[in-house]
Amino acid sequence: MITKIGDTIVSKVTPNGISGVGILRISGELSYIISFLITKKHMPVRFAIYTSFFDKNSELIDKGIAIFYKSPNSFTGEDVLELHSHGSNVILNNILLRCIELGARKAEKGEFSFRAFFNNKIDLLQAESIDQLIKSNSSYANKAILKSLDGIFSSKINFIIGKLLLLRRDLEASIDFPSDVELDNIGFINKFDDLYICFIKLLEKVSKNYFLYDKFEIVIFGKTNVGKSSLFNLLLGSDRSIVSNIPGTTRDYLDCNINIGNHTLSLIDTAGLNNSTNDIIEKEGINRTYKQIKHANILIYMLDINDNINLNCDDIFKYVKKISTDKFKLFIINNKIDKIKIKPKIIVHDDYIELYISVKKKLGLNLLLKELNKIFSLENDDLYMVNKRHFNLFFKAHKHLLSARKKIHNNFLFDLLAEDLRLMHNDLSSMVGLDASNELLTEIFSNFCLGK
Amino acid sequence: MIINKNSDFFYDVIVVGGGHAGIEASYASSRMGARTLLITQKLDLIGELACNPSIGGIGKSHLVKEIDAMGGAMGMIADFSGINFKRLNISKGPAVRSTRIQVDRNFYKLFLNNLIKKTFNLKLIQQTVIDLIIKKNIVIGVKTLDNISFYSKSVVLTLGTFLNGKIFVGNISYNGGRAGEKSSILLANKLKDMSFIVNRLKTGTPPRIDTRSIFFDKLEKQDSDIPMPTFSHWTNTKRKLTQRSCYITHTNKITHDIILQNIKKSSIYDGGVNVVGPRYCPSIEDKLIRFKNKDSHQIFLEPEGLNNYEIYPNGLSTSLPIEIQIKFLKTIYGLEKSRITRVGYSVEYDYFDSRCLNLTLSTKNIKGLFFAGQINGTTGYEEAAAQGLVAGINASCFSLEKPQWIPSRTDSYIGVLVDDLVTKGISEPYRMFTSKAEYRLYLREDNADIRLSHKARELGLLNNRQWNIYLNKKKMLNDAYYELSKKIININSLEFINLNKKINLDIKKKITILDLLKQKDITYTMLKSTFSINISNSILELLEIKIKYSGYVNSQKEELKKIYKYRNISLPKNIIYEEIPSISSEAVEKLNLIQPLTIEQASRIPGITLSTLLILLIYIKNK
Repeated sequence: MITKIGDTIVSKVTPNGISGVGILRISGELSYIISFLITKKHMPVRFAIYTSFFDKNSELIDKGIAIFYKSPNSFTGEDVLELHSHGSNVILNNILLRCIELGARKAEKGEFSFRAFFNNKIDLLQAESIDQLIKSNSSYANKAILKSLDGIFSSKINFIIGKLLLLRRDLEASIDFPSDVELDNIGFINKFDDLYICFIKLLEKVSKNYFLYDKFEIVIFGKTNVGKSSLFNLLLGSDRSIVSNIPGTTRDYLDCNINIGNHTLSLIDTAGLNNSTNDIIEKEGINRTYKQIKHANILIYMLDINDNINLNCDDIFKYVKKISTDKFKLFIINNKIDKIKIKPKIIVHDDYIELYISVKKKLGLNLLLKELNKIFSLENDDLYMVNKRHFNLFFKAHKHLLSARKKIHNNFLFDLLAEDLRLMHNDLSSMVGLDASNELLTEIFSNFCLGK
Repeated sequence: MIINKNSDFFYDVIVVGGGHAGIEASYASSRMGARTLLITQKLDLIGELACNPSIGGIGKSHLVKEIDAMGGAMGMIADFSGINFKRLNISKGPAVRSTRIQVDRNFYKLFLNNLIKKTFNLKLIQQTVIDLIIKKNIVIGVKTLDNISFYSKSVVLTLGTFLNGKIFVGNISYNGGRAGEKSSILLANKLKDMSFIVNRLKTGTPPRIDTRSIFFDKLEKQDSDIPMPTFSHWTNTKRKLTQRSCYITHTNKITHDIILQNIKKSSIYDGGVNVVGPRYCPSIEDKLIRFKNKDSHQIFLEPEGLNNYEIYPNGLSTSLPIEIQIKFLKTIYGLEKSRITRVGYSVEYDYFDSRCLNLTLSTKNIKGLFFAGQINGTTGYEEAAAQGLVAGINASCFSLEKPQWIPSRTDSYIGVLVDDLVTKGISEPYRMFTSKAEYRLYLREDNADIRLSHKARELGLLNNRQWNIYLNKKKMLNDAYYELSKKIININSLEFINLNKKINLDIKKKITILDLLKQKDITYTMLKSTFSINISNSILELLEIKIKYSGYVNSQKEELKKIYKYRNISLPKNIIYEEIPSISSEAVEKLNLIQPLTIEQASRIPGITLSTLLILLIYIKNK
């Protein structure tokens, strides 16, 4: 059933600026009348015709293509008219004004998609995808969005949910039917570890995809005079930071866009974390550095290898490791290896990557660039649209998974573990719009023999 | 005719049916000050345990604890008449710990009758109700087979077990439920005429076995736990009946062969019974067909009572012919010489679609009329009793013109039960499980009174004695909390060092005993044996659970806050779903049936999607 939910709306659907072609879309009851009054032709349905566009004095505004879609077979489900003219703002505005004279109203942001959603033309996920499609400007992102419209992302999540469901089934059944079902501890832990690995893999892809749309920030930080600004400049290929050998030269932060792969990211150089400083400006700089660290997606913690810092006793390291669960990557860079004459190398740890380089002598930089590149390279199959809502839910799910993991390898109480898994299930389910509890019961009953 | 409103024919509340739902309903309403009449077909059957002689179990025991916290009868009576007390799931966490009591059926009945008899405001009569008296869609009384009319402001119907029942044993079938049910069909038929929707369910029972024919000596024994776990918050029965053991045995390959060879003779598999049975209470035939790989199933032998020679073999529901029942029983270890005293059978019965009810258990189309118990498609004494309590309270509120009580999913299993019935409806006999409660970590046995007794007192369900017990317990908890939060431990003391040897704690600064109790690996018993703490074990245990679970419970509360946002968006009473564009006709049908009060309730209706909810939200906003 298609229902009119309001008046007729009109809007430019191509972006502002000069381009070869500009498109106006009109949706609503008046579409057909407007088409007739502008083109002076009876429009056929779903047929592109070359025609003139006239203003109220019957003077020619422009020539172009017009297409009329009859309800319900249109994007919004209402009668829709599309006018393709030349892309000049003057022309487009004149046609737009004419439509408004004829009774249309300027559409609000997202109103076409909203009408499409309201008329059951698209579901919520698709509506979200379309919104992103409009906003994105990388070719990766476009591919990803088209994949989401196909439901590939949902199927990946459903795969994880499937595994989670099996775990919950076993656990809940052993709680509610203790005389019939005993939990096979080893099997359960194995299944859990399998889930964990699958989830972490997907999480990495999801994060990468998310950053296709979001502003990606890399922040370089560390004690004073370890070479942060030099690295920043090197990555940037220019001398934007003031580089000197006086500790505390960078008192505020510097922010620049760099291109890695197909991506534009924002690279941030920060004031050195010098705890002993009394300089008020420098102190303020340090506070800002901590803010930047909290904000960023990728952290680069720089050290001077000659300072011989033991990471396990380092407060800055402890701090960033603690907050890095929310981060995408953490790099520890040991700079100035040229002074002690060791070769550049990379060590991949569980939760961070350690690099040995020399910025001054440009040793090992390719190792860093390769790692950064990896972050943004995605196989075609792993492209899907991830919006903020999905991303947040994924991180919540991740938190519950970690909490469950902590328990499962210690002595655990079933009810608390079950709660972690339930919460994780909730988060994943609400990404794809399923009701967790019903599913679970069905799963329990179809797989266990329960007496009484 | 002069109508004397206090005569034997005029009441505030009439409860029809004397099963577990009817008893709790009439007990609650009378205590709240409503003059109540309990009409039952057979006074002798009040308090009968129609199925197995056990109260509680996983999930169900939470209901019993809550009924008790609300001042109900079931927990007390089970405590008094118990002959085997057991705690289940002890190692699996406080939230899922459950209590189960095997009771002596005769004592259960006797104690319950004593309680009912002594209840002020409550009258009993043996009559068969055949019709409701309804005026302008408001119920004003009932009419009986003997043509007597009783009048009241509200009526609770607990038509109970096996309405319109049909019993199957092998290829034999006959009409009948338990004890003289036939005549309640007359009333059920009247309800059908009032456009209540009827469906059918099935369930089964095992054969009963003569105690004297079982070789208990060779079977695994299960005795009462020490200390004995009990239900009631208000009684402390030191004097218990003689205790009896339960026994455990198993089916085997030969048993399974016999059953499978004769499966065609079971009415379940020859097409006789073809309605939905419970997935968790399958007949032994069902189990063998559905779980082909399992070559043994547990049988729990429950004693029926002290002066009783029957055993209830839980796990052996069947509708095979009697000769097959005899044959397969004898293949089971310990039952080689067993003698059947009652034949196992399966039964098909009617229930009314519970989605016709409001969250108070009143019906949507007739004012003042309440449904509770198996009539709503539930199974089990505890589920029936919990509904009886809700219906009784609200019938009484309705009659006395007081605000109604809607139990919530967030504060009780009773709330989960009622909401599931009303919002989701059922597709199989409804039984409570802990996994049905989203807020399971908060809805524990140990805090049932903390969660509910305040409300119970407000409603007038707790007397001064009970209220004082509750206040006293709360005070002890608070005092204990205060005391432990003041006690600072010297980490260089010998006691602490010894404790630390056992559990390696990473503690460097000052710490209180309360902080210590928060630690995952520390239990109150450890603390009590290490430090001098003058607080009773029971209080310490409560405190420990509360502290250890507070993190989770608090984050659940956060989750709840989000839901509350939706809960506060109510759906207007006069909303016409057909008029809202873009909602599927299926969703419209569901919304019309359930008539959810809020967006939050609507979100729990199966089949209502996020899109539908959004459209509803937009629609209400634009109105």
